[in-house]
Amino acid sequence: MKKKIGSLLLSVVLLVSMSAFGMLALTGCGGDKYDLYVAGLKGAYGEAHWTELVKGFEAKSGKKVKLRLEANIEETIQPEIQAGGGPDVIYLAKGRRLQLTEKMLESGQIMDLTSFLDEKVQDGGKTFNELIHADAKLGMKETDNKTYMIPLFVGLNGMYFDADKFYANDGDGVYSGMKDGKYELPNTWTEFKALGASLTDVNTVSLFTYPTPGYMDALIPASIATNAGTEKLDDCFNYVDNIWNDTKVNQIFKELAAIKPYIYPNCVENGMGDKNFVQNQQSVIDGKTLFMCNGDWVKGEMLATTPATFNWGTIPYLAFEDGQTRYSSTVYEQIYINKQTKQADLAKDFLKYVYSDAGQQIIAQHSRTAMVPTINYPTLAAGKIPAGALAGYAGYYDGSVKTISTNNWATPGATLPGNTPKMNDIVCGKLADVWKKTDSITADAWIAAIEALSDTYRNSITA
Amino acid sequence: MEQASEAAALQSSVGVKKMVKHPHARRNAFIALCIIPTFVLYTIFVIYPVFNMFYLSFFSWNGVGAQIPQGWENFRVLMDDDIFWRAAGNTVLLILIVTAVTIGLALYSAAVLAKGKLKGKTFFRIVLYIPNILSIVVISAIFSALYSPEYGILGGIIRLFKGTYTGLMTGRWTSMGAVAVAMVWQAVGYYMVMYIAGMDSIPDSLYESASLEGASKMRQFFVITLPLTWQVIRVTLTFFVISTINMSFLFITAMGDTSINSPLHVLLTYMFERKNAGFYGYSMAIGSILFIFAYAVSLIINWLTKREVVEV
Amino acid sequence: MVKTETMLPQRERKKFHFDAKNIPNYIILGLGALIVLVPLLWAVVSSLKTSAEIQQSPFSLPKVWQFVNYANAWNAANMGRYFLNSMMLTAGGLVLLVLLAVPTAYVLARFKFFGSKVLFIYMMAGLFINVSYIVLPLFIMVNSAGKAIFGNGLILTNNPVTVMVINAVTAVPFSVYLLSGFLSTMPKGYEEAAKIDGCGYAGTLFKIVLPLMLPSIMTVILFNFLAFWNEYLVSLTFLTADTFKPLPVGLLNLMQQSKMATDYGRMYAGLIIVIIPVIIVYCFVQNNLTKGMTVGGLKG
Repeated sequence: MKKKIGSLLLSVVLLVSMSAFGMLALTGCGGDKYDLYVAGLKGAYGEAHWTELVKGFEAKSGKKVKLRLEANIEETIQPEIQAGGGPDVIYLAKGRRLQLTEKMLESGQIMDLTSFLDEKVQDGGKTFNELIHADAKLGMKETDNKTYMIPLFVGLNGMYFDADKFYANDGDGVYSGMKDGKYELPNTWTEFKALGASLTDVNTVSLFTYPTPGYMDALIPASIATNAGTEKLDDCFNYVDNIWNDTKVNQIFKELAAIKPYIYPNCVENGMGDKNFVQNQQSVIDGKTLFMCNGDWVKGEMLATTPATFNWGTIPYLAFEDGQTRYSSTVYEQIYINKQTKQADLAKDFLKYVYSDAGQQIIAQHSRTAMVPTINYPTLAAGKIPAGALAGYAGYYDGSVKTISTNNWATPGATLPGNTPKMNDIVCGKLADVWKKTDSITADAWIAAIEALSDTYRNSITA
Repeated sequence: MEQASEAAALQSSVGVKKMVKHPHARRNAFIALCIIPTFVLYTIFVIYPVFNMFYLSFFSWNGVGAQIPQGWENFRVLMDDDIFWRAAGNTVLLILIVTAVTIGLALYSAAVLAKGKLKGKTFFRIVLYIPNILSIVVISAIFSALYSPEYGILGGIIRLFKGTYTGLMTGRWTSMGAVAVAMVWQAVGYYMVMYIAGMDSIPDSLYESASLEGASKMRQFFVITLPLTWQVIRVTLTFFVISTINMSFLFITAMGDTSINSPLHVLLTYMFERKNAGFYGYSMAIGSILFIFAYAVSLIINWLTKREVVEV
Repeated sequence: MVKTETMLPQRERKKFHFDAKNIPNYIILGLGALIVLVPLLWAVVSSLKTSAEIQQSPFSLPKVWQFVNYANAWNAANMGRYFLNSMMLTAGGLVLLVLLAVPTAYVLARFKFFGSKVLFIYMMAGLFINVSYIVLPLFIMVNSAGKAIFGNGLILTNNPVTVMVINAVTAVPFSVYLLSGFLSTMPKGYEEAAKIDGCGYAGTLFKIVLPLMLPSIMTVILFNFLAFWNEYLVSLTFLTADTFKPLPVGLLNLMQQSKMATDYGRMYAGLIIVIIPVIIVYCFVQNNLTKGMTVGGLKG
């Protein structure tokens, strides 16, 4: 009896699901016709601006666009690209965990846009080259002097904090303690460490957290530029021998190791494997942590869990001694065309539309405060974007804030050994090893590991 | 009735005649029809990829560009790769710990449930088996939440006693413990049920006479239960090792960190990490070593556990 | 079914007599049962809390039951679609597996022919090949085959049928092992009688052997139902289109999204949605499952 009921049950399950498959197959057939396939990262800026851009472009060109935005878009499109197809237009920054953009760049899978940049984005308008902000242009050329990717969004990075918890720095070079329940906003690492030492219990209030060690890819280069100068930073990016043993260059690693006692206790655990980094960011909003390094997108990212009364504050990364230039860093997210596309002209038209007045206005209106690195964005976005957000970037657009761009690592040669990590895996990632409670490493071991890896990269290029 | 059977006999004699003409043709056709599709698919989808893995381990390839032949270079680098050796060590340790604890717990609960006269045997059997039917993704999600430093139960309990808790996944040993607990939680029920079945077939009379001779329950277990279920244990042990290699990978991927700096790599997670980093050839070299390792371990277990089969 | 269920405890009750020595066993087993059940119940409770409540205390009960979490998980996170996909992948895989494994096991167990022993060993070698080891080369193979035949690898990789075939074929060695183990314990008398009665080979298989093998085939189906339903590595590697993804992959996505949006209630609700069908099936078949495991081969 039991056996019969069991088999009856199973055959019913089978039958139902087979018919479900049939229905699925029938409905799945017709709908997938399109002229252009656009894929990109669904991140902090939301997706409304993309759907609106696609709508606008479809209306203008009369073509059908397939849009695909996902938080882990690489996992979807990498197999597609391997398969010889994939999206025509891709919006995906460098420096992501799966490194798809880097891989495509290394193996020549991205269309050369060098000459395309001299075309006008709209009739009577400016060319890409005239339009793109000077700071954004710096990183556009690859080592072969060609441009493959256009920066679409810029994020200003720095130290983020609760503005209501601090009073302005008094300029005496030492941490002056609490006044009226507020801390002094630090300028230098000395003040920063003194502020950390003044905190009584890190379990209640701690000094600093990163979202994940990957976010150090802005803080560390900016700090090197501050302490050792931008030429030395370029040397770092080009794997110059012994550069990491320069005491000006490597001081940042020692300072980071020195604040270990004051960091947010859950920082390392939350920052592991990209899984819980939002909780580190939340700790700043909740008042458990005073500072974090982050980009401007964090405001949009954390919108749902930020109280209306909370006021974000931002400062450039810290100086090591008085009188040094402090830098913010700019992180760009690029858009580019897949070399395998059969729709090159349509893809280029799409890019032009994105950077046209109409396109930029759509981005301003519908994104959660995304910033396009063009010289006319402040004008186009005025009134469409919260004034405060735009004000935060005023220094960037008028060139008064000193910025450096990150992730300028020279492309390695083809002979890298199979066990080679990415530079940022060690330069940034090892901070977790320094900060964790057990099996931690010293700053010196960290620096030695970076220098050794730098040698590997240099050898791959010279070999 | 008779007519029918006569007809059947006639038919069968016709059949026999045909078979005499082509004695093996129908048999061979039947055999071919039954096994050829299976073996073709099996060769394509299981055996060929293994050889392809070995083949690709001699190349340098980033997954989207061209494949560059490299000879033994990947294996040479592998021998000097600290992370590879640590991953290999972690794999072995996890196999040892998880196997010992799981099989131990499973044998204990099976012995109690099979031969102990307990009320609620069925209840315990059903409940303890539940974790085995859940997806690894589900189990990982539950355990990640339990271990979470922000709002997990474990942290909550430790903080009740005024301790500090900042999570388990950052240290090599703590994360290994955390993953091992989840793996044991998942597997005990399955092996317990296997052993119950093996023990059920042991006649009660053996235990009764042992009791009369004054043998303790513990002694009965080692003298009667263990030898008579040895064959089942042996088979499960071999499969368990294979499955632990796989399970540790699935759990760590879903629960922990799989970046290159992760404190807890096993060979499979490192293989996938290298593939994601764009070193396909190197990744396949790790896979090849793992494959040989897994086979060797299975053979060794098989050889070590060889005993005279005790029949009842 | 109901009859046997109620008969079992009765039989146990007759045997049962209280023994003080069993108290430690009760305590240990009870603890074990708690360790299994508490995390599951905690997930159920958490799925009915708001995100704020979850973050406040892991122990608290929901003030208002948030069934909306389930609606959110089902609709916003596309779990409904994933559910259908999982059913389709599981059913297809099972049908294929039975078609492949049963005749093969029968032939390998019952027929002696040139190379039959070698073939059996060749098949058993697959017992040690886990799909995790080969999923990357498999993908590369399927992808390049698709590229060679259709000019586009996606036609084969992003295809539920491929996943069904891979799931089924990689499950074949163990199923053949189990089934042929069972066949070796089954007397040959029936088949010989059938042969004498003039049944052909196929006839013998379908009319005589198959009904006798049914319990062990059920075991194979049950095990692989769980394996296929819970499988995520192959699907994650192959199926890129959202329209094809099964539940566990959907759950991974949901976990990622929930963490981004710090919407933990929705994540737990998604979890429970994945668990419910297996628990229901388990309730119906737990006896078949836990008893069937011992059929044939596994006894060694």
